[in-house]
Amino acid sequence: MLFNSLQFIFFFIVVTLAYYSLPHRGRIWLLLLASCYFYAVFKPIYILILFVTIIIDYFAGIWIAQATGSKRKWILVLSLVSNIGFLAYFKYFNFFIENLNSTLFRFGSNTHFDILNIILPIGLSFHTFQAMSYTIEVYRGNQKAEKDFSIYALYVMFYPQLVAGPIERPQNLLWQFHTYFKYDFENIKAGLMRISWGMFKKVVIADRLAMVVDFSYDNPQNHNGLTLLVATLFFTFQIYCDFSGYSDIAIGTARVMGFKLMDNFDAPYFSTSINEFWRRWHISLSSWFRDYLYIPLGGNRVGEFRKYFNLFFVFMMSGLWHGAAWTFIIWGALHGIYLVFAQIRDKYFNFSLSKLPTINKYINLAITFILVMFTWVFFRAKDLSNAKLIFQKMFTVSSYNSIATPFYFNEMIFCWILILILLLKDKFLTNISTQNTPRFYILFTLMLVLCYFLGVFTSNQFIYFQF
Amino acid sequence: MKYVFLFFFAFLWYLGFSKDLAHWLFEKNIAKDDYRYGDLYRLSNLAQFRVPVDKCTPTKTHKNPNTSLFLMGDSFTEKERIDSSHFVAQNFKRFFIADTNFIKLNKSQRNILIIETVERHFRERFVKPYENLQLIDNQQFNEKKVQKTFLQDALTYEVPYNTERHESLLFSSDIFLKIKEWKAWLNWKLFNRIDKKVVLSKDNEHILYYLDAQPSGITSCFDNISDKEIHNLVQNVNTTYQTYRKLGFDEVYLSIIPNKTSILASDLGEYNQLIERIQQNKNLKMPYIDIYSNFKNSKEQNYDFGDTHWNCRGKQIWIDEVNHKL
Repeated sequence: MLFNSLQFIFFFIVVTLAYYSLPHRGRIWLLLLASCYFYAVFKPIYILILFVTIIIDYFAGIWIAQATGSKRKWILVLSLVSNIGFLAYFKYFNFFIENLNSTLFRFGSNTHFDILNIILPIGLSFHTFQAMSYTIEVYRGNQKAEKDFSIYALYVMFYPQLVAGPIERPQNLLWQFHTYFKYDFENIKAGLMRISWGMFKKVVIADRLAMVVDFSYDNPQNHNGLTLLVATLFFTFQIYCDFSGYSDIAIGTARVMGFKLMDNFDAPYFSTSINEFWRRWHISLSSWFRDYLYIPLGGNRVGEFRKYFNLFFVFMMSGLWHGAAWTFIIWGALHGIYLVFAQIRDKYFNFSLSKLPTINKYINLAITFILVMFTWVFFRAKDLSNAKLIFQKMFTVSSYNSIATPFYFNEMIFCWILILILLLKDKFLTNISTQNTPRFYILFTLMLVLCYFLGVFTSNQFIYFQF
Repeated sequence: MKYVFLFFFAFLWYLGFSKDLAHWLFEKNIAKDDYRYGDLYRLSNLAQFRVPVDKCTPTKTHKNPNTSLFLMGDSFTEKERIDSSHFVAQNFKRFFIADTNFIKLNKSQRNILIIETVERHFRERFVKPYENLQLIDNQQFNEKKVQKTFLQDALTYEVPYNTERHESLLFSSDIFLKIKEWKAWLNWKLFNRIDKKVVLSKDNEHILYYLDAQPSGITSCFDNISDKEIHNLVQNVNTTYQTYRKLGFDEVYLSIIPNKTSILASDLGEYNQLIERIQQNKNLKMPYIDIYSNFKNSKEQNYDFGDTHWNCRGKQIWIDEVNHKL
């Protein structure tokens, strides 16, 4: 079910009202049932995959807690292999086969392996990673094994963050399912405001910018460098609004019921380095990779070359997590290269472009933004050849004679105004206060009115649903 | 109070699931028909096109007991618009043009087949001979129902929620239409943007369907069509004609209904003259029912104001032509 759909509005109201009408145990089963339905709206049969991973990891958690010695490790490995197995089969198998086929063809072989006719289950990467974090944390002793099956199942399936995160940690979420949250109007207000702001980002900003982006990126050969540059800039904000909008709605939806999910974004485009960008962008995923891949690989407590390799490898894996395509791998690898270069620069060539710290800060901010923006070309382009073409055109400044857009002048101006509003909000108003109730009512109503009247309701899907 | 709200919203949500309840609500006029101002108004919500679709008064025809009429048609001839009372033929059967159907001809009568298609889909439909009407012996014919296994059912099961129906049920009253009109007006005036599926004529007087009004594409009035393609289309029409004649039809007619754009806004681009090029092609063997010239020369409006389809007048022109042939 999409957050920005009519059905979700009724689903959310009914589930929330029912939630506050039930005792604790009833709430757990209600949320489980609601989460099953929420997921089943996409493709009911795929809920079986979720059930299987839940069962495996539930028992793995208990067995790891009970076992001793190397047995614990083997149970963990088994659990991880089963989780990664699902990912490998549904997400990466066809990619692997396609690349194998093309390699064989290049070497003159006629062997051809068939690809599978399967659809990627929605949100697979998200809930698999969340499930893996549970078994790893139990193995590490940071989390007690969850004995209550329904609560563990809800940990994996909790509908607000089921299909696109934030990827939660068991330490932050499991205890909340054991808690009976009393009705608290402050939570309702805070949650609803967060939802409305998320919705605004999605339907007013992201989906509006998407029209320009799709127009240019769908046929880059028809557009000049300036058009593609503007489209890339717009995509930079589209993906931010799309994904952070989703996260806001997820966090707000959970908050209405009393749950506090982790923040996933923290004004990422105000980062002054790539390192900082990754502490502010998709926080739940980057911290997942840090805790469960980068640090186990040795992190920065290893030799210099190994440290650089670890960084590069982790970001390449992060790219691969996003999608089974070379464009995503390159996107991740580029971030890895940026970070390696930044570390080399800091170690060997530590210099500042200006003596004034404020100027330096803004220069770094601009450089970081531009570097990040260019990586989005790979993320959005249909394939590598399109990405190459877009870069070629963007760097041919002589062709910058006009901008082709599907919009009239007014709407282009409006897009820039929206981007400005977004940046101002990120910079100066991290949270919209909801303590003053009359003010909340006015603001919330205003947000809903703005969402309806200025919203674009044609491209519904959230970008991160595909992962 | 909490439970009242709970049941109220649960009921509103349930409306999206139940086809029967939706049907009943529409039938009892509890929920308003969202097509009442036309399909193009429904898409665009532009207030200037909010004109109720024509309600036609039933006509009486003298039946010819020796004639059976089979009509393969699209939305222009669907049952809400056309029924047996309109035709002089004693027996009338209509099939949706894209479906495969099995029929039995009554040898004691004159069997006439009309293939009616709107202009915008003509090229797609006649990209090959159109032969999806087949004869059967009614007594022997038993539609083979494919038995699905439980697993197949489970694999293909979908939640029976329908967004479009739900939205129609909840938001088609005049109050909601007014709000939708404000949004449409704001987007039009502020951003010069209207729904993607509609196009306005140059003078903004007419609302058109995007498929036939867009600058290019197989459904467009302005898509360049080569003589070779016209030749192929005519060949396919002829093959279709021969096929149905061999099946036993006494006569088969082609009727291409002109796009609203072709008649009211052909100045949006260079009109490809599809209908005339087909109908006047010297190789065309299938007789046709021409309303294009009538529509083109008419000084009166033959289409509903906020709809892609004909109004009562336009429809009557076609019916008269058909009855004349019958």
